[in-house]
This record gives sequence, C-alpha cells and structure tokens, in this order.
Amino acid sequence: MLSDNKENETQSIRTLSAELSNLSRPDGSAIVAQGDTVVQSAVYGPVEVRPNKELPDKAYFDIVYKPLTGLPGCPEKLRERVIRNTLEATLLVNLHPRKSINLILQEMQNDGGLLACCINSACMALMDAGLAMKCLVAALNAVITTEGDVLLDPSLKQEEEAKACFTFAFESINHEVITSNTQGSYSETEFKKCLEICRSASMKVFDFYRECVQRRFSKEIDR
Amino acid sequence: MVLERSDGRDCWKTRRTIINVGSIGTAYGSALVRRGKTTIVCGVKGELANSRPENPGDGFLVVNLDLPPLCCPLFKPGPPSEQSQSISQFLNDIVTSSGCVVLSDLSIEGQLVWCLFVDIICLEYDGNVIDAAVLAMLAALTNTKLPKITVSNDNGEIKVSEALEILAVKSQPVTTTFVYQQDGGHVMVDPSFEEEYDAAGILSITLQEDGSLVKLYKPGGLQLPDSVLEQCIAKARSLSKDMWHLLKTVSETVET
Amino acid sequence: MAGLELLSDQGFRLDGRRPHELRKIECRMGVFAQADGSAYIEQGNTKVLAAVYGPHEMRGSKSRGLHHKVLINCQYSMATFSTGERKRRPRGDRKSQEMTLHLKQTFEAAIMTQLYPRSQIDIFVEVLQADGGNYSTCVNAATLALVDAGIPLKDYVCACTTGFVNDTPMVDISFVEESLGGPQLTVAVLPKSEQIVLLEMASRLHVDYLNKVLKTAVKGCKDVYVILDEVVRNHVAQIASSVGSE
Repeated sequence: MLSDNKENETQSIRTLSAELSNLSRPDGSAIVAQGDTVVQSAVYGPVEVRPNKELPDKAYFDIVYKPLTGLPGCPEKLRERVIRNTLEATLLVNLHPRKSINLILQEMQNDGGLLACCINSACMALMDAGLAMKCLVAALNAVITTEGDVLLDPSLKQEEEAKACFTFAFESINHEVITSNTQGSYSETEFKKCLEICRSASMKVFDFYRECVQRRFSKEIDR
Repeated sequence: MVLERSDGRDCWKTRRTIINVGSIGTAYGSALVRRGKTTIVCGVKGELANSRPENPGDGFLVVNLDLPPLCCPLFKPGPPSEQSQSISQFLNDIVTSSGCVVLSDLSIEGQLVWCLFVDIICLEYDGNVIDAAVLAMLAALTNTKLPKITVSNDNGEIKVSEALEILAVKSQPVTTTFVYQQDGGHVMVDPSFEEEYDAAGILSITLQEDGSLVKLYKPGGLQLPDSVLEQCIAKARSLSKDMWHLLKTVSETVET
Repeated sequence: MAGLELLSDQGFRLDGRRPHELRKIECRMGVFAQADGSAYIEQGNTKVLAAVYGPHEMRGSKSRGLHHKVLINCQYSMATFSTGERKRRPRGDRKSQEMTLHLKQTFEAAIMTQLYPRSQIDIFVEVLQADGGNYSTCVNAATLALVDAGIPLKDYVCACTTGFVNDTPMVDISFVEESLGGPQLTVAVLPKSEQIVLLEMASRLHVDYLNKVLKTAVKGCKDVYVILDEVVRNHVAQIASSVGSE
C-alpha cells in the first residue's frame, strides 16, 4: 500500500485495542489486539509455590506460552524465555518471597509481531492483577524489506517476505532497551534506524496503557 | 580504573579457546571446543529424506543442543530443560538468518535431499555455552564431508559412494556474549559460571565476516542504554576477528 | 560373508590383533572441574566419558533414600552421532535403560555403600563414539571416575567383552566383530579376588566352552586392571607432587 507520505505511513502502528479483566478467575487478565494479532494473557499471583521451586528472597515467576496449534516446541521455549526475562526485570519480585507468580499466554491469532504483542499483553495483565512493577514495558516489531525500507509493525506476510525482522521492548522511564530479538542479517546502521523508529512508536503504546487504565477506573467510580 | 574479574581477566578479555576437529569417526563432521573450562562436542550426521512439497529441492538442517546432567549439578536428568531448548532455537535461528548453509545446496536429485542433524553436547558447563556451541557448530560444519549420492536413472536405486565432498559453508556467524551486573555499569565478555548466575542480564551479538549483524539477542534483563549497546557491538567486532582467524587456522591444518 | 574372516589362519583378527590382545587403551582422569570425579577412556575407537557427583544429599523424593546404604543413580547416554546410524533417542530407550540398570548393579557391588546412608551418588556415562564393547568401556571409565572422586571401593571393577570364533575366544571385540554374529560374553570382575560382579551373555554357546571363554574373559579384565592401575598411580603421583611443591 503506497501513499504520498511514505515516511509517515511506515511510522504508524496498527490499531491497538485491549480489554482488561475479561476473564473472571485469574487475578489479572488482558486480551490485546495489535491489528489482527491477538494474544490473551492471564496472571495468577502471588500464589503458593511448589516447595522445589521456592526462592527465599523473591517470587518465582513462571510463564507458559501456548501456541494456537500443535505442541510447544523449541521456538515456543525461546519465546517463553524472552518474555519471562523481560517481565521479570520490571516486576518487583522481592516483595513476594516464597510465592509464585504465574503468567499464561495464549496465542489467539497471528498476523505478524507476535512476540511484541505477547509482551504487551503480559504487561497489561500484570498491571490488571495489581502487581507492583518498577516500570512498564512496550514492545514493537519492525522489519527491513528486501528494498531496504523500514516497515513498522508489519503484517505476517510482510514479515515473511522481509530481509530482517526486529522486536524491541522498551521500559517507560528512560526508554532504554530491555529486550532485543532479531532474525535475518542486517547492518549496524539499519539496526540503529529500526531501534529509533520503534522507540518513538513505543511512546504511543505507553499512552495507550495509560488511556486503558484511566478508562477502566473512571468507569468504576461512575458506578 | 581497570576492573579485574575473579579469574584475573579484564572485562573485555575472552578465555582461551581451543578447537579440535574430526575426532569422532562415526560422524560426517565433528568438533570439540574448549573455552576456559566450558567443553562442547558437536557431531554432524546426515540422513536422506524427501523434500517438502512447498520447498522442493531444499534440504533440512536441524541443530540440537543437549545439556546433560553430567555437565553441571544444576541440570537434573529428564526431558530437555528450557535453557537447552531455547539455546537450540537460538542456534537454528542463527543458521537460517545468516544463510551459512544454503538449504538448496543439500539437494541431491529431484525430491531426494540431505537432512543434516547437528547434535551438540555440553560436556562441562562453566558459563557461556552459547559462544562455544556456535563455534563448535561452525567448526563441525566446515569440516563436514558428505558421501556422494548417485541415483540410477532406470530403477531409482540410491548408491552411496565412498567419495566424500565437503559441505559448502557460505559464512561464519560468530557470537560474542556479554553479561552485565545489577548496577548496569560493568559489562563483561565471555562470562564464567558464577558471573552468568549473578548477572542482571545477558547480551549476545552475532556477526558475520562482511560486517553485518545476524542476531542481536538480549532476552530481557535489566535495561541497557544505547551507548552500551554500541560499545558492545564494537567490541564484538574486534573479538570475532580472533575467532574467524582461529576457525580458518583449524580448517587449514585439517586440509594439510 | 566372503572376504571377512574374523580369525585368519595365521591367528590374526580383522584389525591385526591376536585373540588375547586388548585394543589400545588411553585414559585420563580428572578431566572436568565441575564433577567431583571424572574420567575419559578410549578403547580402540570406543570413546567414553564418565562423571561422578557425590556423595551428596538425596535429590528428588527423599523417600527413595535408603537408611543403611547410599543410593546409586546411574545414567547411560549415547550421543546421537556416536553410532553409524544416527541414534534418535540418546537415553530412555530400552537398551539404554538396560545398560543403566547393569551399571547400577555393578557399582552397588563394588562401592562401599554402607559408609553413606541416606545419601546419593550419581554416575553419568556418555558414549561419544561407539565401536564395540560399549558396556565394558563404560564400566572402566566409571571406575576411574569413582577413584578420581575419592569414593571408597572394595576393588577396581574391570570389564571386558569376549567373543568366540573357531574354538578361540577373542578378547575386547570391536563393533564389526560384534555385528558379524557369534556368541558374546560380557563380564565385569573385581580383579584381585577374581570375583565376578556382572556376567551377561545373550547368545548360544555350548556349555562345554563356557569355562574356556570365561577364563579368557577374566584374564582380559585383569589386563585392563593393570592398565587402569598404572593410570591411577600416575595421576595420584602427579597431584601429590604438584600439591607438595607449594
């Protein structure tokens, strides 16, 4: 899809929409849609932990990622590791020693940018559960097409045809990089360019989080 | 102020790396890498298979890392741990992203293709398995010799000849891993077991000889300012040069 | 099979050995720092690594612990690239489980188990290249690893696999000799007392020949013992000299 303002076209992210507390049993839940990519997450915590997983100084943070079809394999385990490390860095786990915080992610639809959507959905669910966090996380996906253009928040088709794919997660205080995962080969300048584009777009995601929470709590007060 | 680590190295020095190839006779290619005390052995085996209909003429290359309980008391016997699965996926991603082995090179004739299994076993775990595993994989692949396969035209009989041909490896993506501590300041390259265990985060940068980056892997952990990222990429570039030189020396010694 | 004679008329085997000769054994102790005891053995082309952890606290369910002796936990694993055909399951298949059980039974007889009640000793064995006599090499490697770990043993455990062709028992058979058929006897002994710890034979052998084969096998084990003992003494002398010179 070409437009006259090509630069502006690539800087915008797909429509973000979310619903918090859509599941009644978990302590926190969120379903987030970035364009057509939808991920449901649920948080149980802080809850009792199995004795062999007990940690004396902090909570045991456990993540399960369920793909839409098939059994979890190596790619799912890598995704779990990245998401877990990303969110563990932001959660104040030292507040809940000898407890466990369980996060379950379910892929509902994949139209590109799955890892980014998972991280965003997980962050919203943790917020919804009321768990104390140092900062928020916003993740974004960008690709470099075969022509060398940077496309922000691509669809699955654009991702598959791209030369290189990037997923970055930023924190809300200093906007520094928490997570980076890439596919394909690229140069350092291309890397920096994508990093900057994703960083400026992450502000929109942080604004969206604020808006979501505002809307939710203003509704409760009105009741 | 020069910081000294527990084993006397400075922050930007890697441990002594030793690469040994061709020690396993039953595999088509093999390598043993020792980085400090971390020991990794890699074996390449091949099987014949039919290519998938959606990618005709493309062979298969599957990398698998095993962290058995013998390498470290932290690993218990049982199904593969999350760490071994995620590192296996990381290695597979490096192979696909860098194109070091082109899958169409693995085709033999028509539907018949090679399916290469790169099996990596960690024999001793002293931190930084990723870098050592990547080196072992590259050393084993560059020294892999596959038997020549001919398919007779009349009855489709597959003949395996004694002649061996070397596998074409287009590039050598080398990984450099850094860890950093809780205060965000001290970045160290090639962590040992204790440094990895206490680290606030890990950063792995994979580079190719032509200067392009293949994978910048920072799986969460404490946030890093951009300046530190750039510094690490620059350091990774200079450290990878030593590794490319080492791999080249190893290949040349094998040929002679 | 024409052209492939296990024992030639002059009395030479396929690799040029005599029937009573063992393959070249090379071993090293203390190869790994993480494990309490480790050893690496090469018997001909069979390459095996052994690592021992322990004695340490019971891991997993404490109910498995024994009140009067130590629990020995073994794991036999073959690397996927160790055999001619790629091995799909390195551990957990029936053959590996049988080997694991044999190793456990062997070492329960050799280790002084009553010294460490309610504790556990882990023995991990990894076969990097398999060229016949896998079990025997594993036992030899594990013995060295146990000695390296400083675990008290009643005696060394030395094992050897013997074949039988043309009325001649052949010691330390290789993979080719194993696969060409014929009876195979695996025996593990405590060399000084010549007590048999494990004896296994899963093929047909006339009972009249049994004694002959067994005697040759035990002799083979004693030859292995001589080599292993020398390695241990050299290793200890090396450590002692490096400690003493400080």
